[in-house]
Amino acid sequence: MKDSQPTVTEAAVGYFLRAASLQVPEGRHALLAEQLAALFDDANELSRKVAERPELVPAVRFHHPETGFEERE
Amino acid sequence: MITVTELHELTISEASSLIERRELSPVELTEAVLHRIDAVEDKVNAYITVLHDEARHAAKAAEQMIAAGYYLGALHGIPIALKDNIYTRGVRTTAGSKILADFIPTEDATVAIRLKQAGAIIVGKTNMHEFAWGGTTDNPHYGATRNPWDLSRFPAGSSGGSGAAVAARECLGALGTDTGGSIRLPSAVNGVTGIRPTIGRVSNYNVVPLAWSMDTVGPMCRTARDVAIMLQVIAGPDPLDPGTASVPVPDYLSYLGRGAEGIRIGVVPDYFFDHLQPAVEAAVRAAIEELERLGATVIELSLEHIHGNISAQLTVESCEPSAYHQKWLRERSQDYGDDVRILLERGELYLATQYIQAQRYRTLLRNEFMEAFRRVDVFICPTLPFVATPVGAMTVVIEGGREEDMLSAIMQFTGVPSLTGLPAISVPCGFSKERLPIGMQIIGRPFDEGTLLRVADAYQAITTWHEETPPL
Repeated sequence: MKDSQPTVTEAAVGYFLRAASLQVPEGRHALLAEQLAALFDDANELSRKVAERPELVPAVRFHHPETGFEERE
Repeated sequence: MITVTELHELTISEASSLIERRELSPVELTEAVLHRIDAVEDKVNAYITVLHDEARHAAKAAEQMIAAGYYLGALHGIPIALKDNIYTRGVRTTAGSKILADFIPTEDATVAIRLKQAGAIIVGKTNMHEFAWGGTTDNPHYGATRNPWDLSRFPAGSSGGSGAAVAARECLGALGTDTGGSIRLPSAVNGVTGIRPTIGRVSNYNVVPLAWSMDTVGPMCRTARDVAIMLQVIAGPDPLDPGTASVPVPDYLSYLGRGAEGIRIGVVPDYFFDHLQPAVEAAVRAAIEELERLGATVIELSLEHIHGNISAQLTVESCEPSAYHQKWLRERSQDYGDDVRILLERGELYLATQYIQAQRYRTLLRNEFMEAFRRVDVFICPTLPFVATPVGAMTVVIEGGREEDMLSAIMQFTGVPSLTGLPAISVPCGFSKERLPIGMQIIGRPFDEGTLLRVADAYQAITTWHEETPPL
């Protein structure tokens, strides 16, 4: 279920853009906040599911076609 | 008897047979393709740079080699196009951007070297979505590429120029790059055949990156046989790209002509067939039935974790490009198109934990697919859920009249192989009532591009969708 409050606010976007030393016209902060709020709802839900699986490590390359699991050294 | 004006219609396989038998000269063929480019390019805009002089020079050299008794193989004398994010020595490589508008590499990409060493003639650099970060090829700096089947429609992307060039017969084959679907999407909507190889199968050296952990290079051609010919040349380990796998490359042509008897096709109805335009669903279901008639069997599966793929895709594909573009975004932000600029800005604002969890999700999804591959040999689904949209559209209606964001909608099926690193090919499988092409995506085991080519070739042996010609 989505929170009733937006997960990302215009003020938060402005704060983090400044922290990243990235100049973005203030007129676009609200648009970024709106887009990120929607994206973060899904990203946070995915994060919660993944966080329940401590065995998962971030690895995506294949180097052994027989197993598909082993990683390069 | 083939006339000069029809030479651009040849497939790679057909042309190479004629060249090998010395019944067709690389110079004649290259001239025919350059003539075709000159004739239709003002409508299609598939190229950023056309290499008239360089191609003629290379074709002459290719012809002289054959005359001297040196035939290099199936790509010798074949006109090929490269997406403009693939470095070409001495030829500008823009990545579809203003930022790299004057960039002239001093080295080739490994894939370009391998094609040249195989005797291919590079006829030009194709248009693309700016920095490959988008799926429409509506490029603000070099103009929109248009779909040869309907010039008011988009060619998808990001390798839209390569897809349109192959469909419009402005080359016999092309290279594209694919991060979230950028080879398969334009292959589908332009009615051509294109493969995203397994991650690590083909070198990315000297290819402008989008997202390092998902980027791949692959061929786009008219037929599965032609794709096999091109993939054979570019695949294999590259000491210059530590991401390439030291896995032997099989003889891809040996997989062709073997039919589909015994192939187990996995179908995931509650994801891949849940939200589609009716024409797309009908065409892909009919294609699966054709393969069943060839002796394949269909096994329905459910993949518990597949629904998280779009979020993971957007997260990874947001953060990695923003890291690559960090310097330019601060120093030359005004030189990006509006759509790419805001995507790069968004990518700066994700949380590190969200990115890492998305990467961990990829392992979860990959493991689920690997488990499923104990029961099936391939998965088949639509390449994308809709047909080509009008040029400039930022949203799409798939069903129910609801407008959806283009980026999320377009890569909901192609993003699955991208995240898992699995190989996938898009094959033409029909048309909508507006005569817009439809593609089916076949997904395979890691490094098993051969089986994908086998199934695609078996399907193309009994259908003619891939032989249809756009009305240019």
